[in-house]
Amino acid sequence: MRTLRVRRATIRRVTLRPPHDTGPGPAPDAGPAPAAPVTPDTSLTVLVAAALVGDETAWAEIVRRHVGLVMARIRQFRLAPEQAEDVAQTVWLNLYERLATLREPEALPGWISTTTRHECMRVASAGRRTIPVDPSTGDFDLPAADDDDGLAVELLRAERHRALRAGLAELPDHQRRLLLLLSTDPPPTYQEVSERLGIPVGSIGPTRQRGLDRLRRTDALRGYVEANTGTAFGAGGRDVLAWG
Amino acid sequence: MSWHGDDGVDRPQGLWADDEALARDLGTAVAEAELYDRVESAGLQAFGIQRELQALRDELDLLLLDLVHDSRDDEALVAVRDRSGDSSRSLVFEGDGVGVEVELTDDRVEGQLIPAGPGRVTLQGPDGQIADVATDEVGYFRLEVRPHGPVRLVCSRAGGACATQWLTW
Repeated sequence: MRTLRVRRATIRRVTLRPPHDTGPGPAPDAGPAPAAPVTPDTSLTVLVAAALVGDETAWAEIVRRHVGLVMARIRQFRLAPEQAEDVAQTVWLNLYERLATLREPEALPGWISTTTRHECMRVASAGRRTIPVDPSTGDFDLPAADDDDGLAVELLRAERHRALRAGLAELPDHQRRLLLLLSTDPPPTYQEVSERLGIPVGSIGPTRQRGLDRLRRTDALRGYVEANTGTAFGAGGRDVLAWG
Repeated sequence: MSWHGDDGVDRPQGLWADDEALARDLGTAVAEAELYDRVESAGLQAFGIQRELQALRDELDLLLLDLVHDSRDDEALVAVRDRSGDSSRSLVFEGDGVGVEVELTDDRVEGQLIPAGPGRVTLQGPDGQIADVATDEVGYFRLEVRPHGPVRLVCSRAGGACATQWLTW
């Protein structure tokens, strides 16, 4: 039987030094962590060491890299927004303390995944369960199963949606405003759109189409497609097939 | 199947080749943006909260206690809900021979320090202290609150101080 408890590693005392560090100086692989600029390429090892000595930028990057993972788990358990926020808060608060005791920073995603899953199970079993079904997409958008395959599907979905939002932010104002307005649920009529945005009804269709075309060519969407060339038709293929 | 036409578009691009599929996916992405932001900002806020608590922890040399039992885990495991309407929940936190047992009911928190002995217990939320009480001589305590959202207990006694991990109660 699988144990549901969180890891039992006990902490006698939290050290402010990076986990690998045994001497008084900075760990060799930590480099000039607190001072170095944080980029998407910065290793987790460096980020963890920097966050532990108070570098908030490093912590923010750790959070940003794992929001999709937390979101993916939350969706698997169909949590309501307030429940989701409780879970997220609990996971992040425990994560900071866990950083100090992690032997291997690369184990972080696994810890976040497991901890979020346990916390979701507890919150879900408290009742108040809701099943969000997007009326515009219906059954296509049901959460994936609570297993590793399901997690892979949800992870890809979270990444895809992050790319779409980032792509939207790259668009010129008039296209972004139109696409945002048309994305509301239920979607407004073209007449309402015309009044809200002060553009002729006849230009809505063409502007929408140009906006979508441009969205496909944004750095965010191209980056996503490039990064997922290998997997887009693997685990995510199921999603894609659902659209067909 | 419009998403991978024979117009020379390579396969990954086919993911969003169809306007309607792209618009639909975009709609979902936009609809979930708020929750995504809330989850992310909960993470950013956790840093400030934990850094502040760390000062206290260093000062008291707090021992961290992990959750080792949660009656709700049993419920989740067997997927059976208590039909009596009793919504109580029992928790056990442990670390290095020290622990605290907690029983949550609808309107209060009861608990017991392990090993038995007097001390003081503080219930903390992300925004600060929620309640504070002295235990009796054998370490029993009772708080007339029913917190929601992530909380932790900080217990201090003659032998030292400890704090439970964060948990949504």
